[in-house]
Amino acid sequence: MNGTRLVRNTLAAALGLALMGQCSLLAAQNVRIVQTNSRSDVISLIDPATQQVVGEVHGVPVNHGAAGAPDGSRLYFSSEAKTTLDVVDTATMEIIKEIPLSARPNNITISKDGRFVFVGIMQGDGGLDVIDTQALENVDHIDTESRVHNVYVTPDGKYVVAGAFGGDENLRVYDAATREFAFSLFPPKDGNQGDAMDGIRPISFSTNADGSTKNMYVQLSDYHGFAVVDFATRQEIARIEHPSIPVEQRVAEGTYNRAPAHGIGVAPDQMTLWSCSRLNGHVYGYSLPDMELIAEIPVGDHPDWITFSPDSKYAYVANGGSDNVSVIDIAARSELTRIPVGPAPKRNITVSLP
Amino acid sequence: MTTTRSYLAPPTCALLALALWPAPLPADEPVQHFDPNIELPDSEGKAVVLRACTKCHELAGLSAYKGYWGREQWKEMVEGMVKNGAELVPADVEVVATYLDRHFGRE
Repeated sequence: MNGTRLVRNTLAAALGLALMGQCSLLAAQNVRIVQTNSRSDVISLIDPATQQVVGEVHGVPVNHGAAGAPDGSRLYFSSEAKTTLDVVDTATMEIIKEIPLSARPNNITISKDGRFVFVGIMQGDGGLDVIDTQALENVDHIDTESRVHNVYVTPDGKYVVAGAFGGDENLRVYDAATREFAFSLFPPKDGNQGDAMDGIRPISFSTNADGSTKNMYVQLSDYHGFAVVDFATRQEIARIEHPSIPVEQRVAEGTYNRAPAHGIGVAPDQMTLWSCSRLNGHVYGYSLPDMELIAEIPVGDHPDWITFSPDSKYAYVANGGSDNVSVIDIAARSELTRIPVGPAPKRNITVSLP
Repeated sequence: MTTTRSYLAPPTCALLALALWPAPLPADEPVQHFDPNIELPDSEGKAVVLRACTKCHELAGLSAYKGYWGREQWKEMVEGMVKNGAELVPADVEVVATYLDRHFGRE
């Protein structure tokens, strides 16, 4: 390589890096942590640059699930009170459509291309409602044979994963394109069929280098920890229990809704996994892929859900019992601050707005 | 680290009441009740609600539903709670549904 070409390539690389930095800076300026507040009709929007609430969405009573369009143009929320999926234009943060659902919803997710929203139905026979985001209509229903609490699209976009209660096997996987049943896991404990509370709690995923889904990390009823499932082989390969909490150190929550661990997430850089404990109001951090416990951090009351800043610097833990969000500095392994939000914050997501 | 343990008056267990499901306690444990964390209006059914529902959860979340659900929806909810373990005979299901519809139903 001659000197001229070296200089030109070096300048091009520098320009590219500068542009990348500019782009990521611009993108970062529009990142929002979308925090539902289940005991109200208000959703809080947190700016991770300032760690403050900078906006709100109104009109979604008993809001449960949240999802964002890939281009950030819309937000979607399920309302248990209205039994609707509410569509919000992020340019105005106003609801532009309330789409009727088959029954009371819980959590929601969106396909990788943004074309369909899948809504977990927690009432009656359960199932998944399928919302066409172009027609803004409820166009299909997937029979899951049980009530659905949480629903996810795998990182590669190929499967829809439903976490259910009371079924034959409560983790149910469907082909995202055909909506056909693919496989299921986790029968009721001890064959205790009919236990309506026995089932699948929150799930998170890790990815392989090629973007395919590697592992599922599955929180279960009555288990203070999570199961690790190899997605390719469809086998549980490990069960990670959080540190034992002496009874006298547990918060006063009775049975913890039979979900002592609720809220789990893999950081975007795939380096760490974080799991919430209702037993003592902590979040536990684990290294990936070796699953070593690396952090035990006190947060607010009744932590329920977790999401991350895109740069993996911060985790946001929704504290359903103390009406705030704990910001975790992942590198420092400590709580940075708590952000007051609305009543009973639960599900949260990270979006990049236009 | 929080170390308080009291089933009678959980200080900030701000769970949405209707997103909770009852869970049976072991037979040898005394029945405990959550603080409802809401001033329930007086009328027929209040005592049943307090007896059956607060065994497993508080009730503050009820107010967020006010104005949206009719009696049939409340009844479906109560029936779902029975499936989840709430101890309500059929007549009590009707009483609770009527109470919830009257005070937290459509106006």
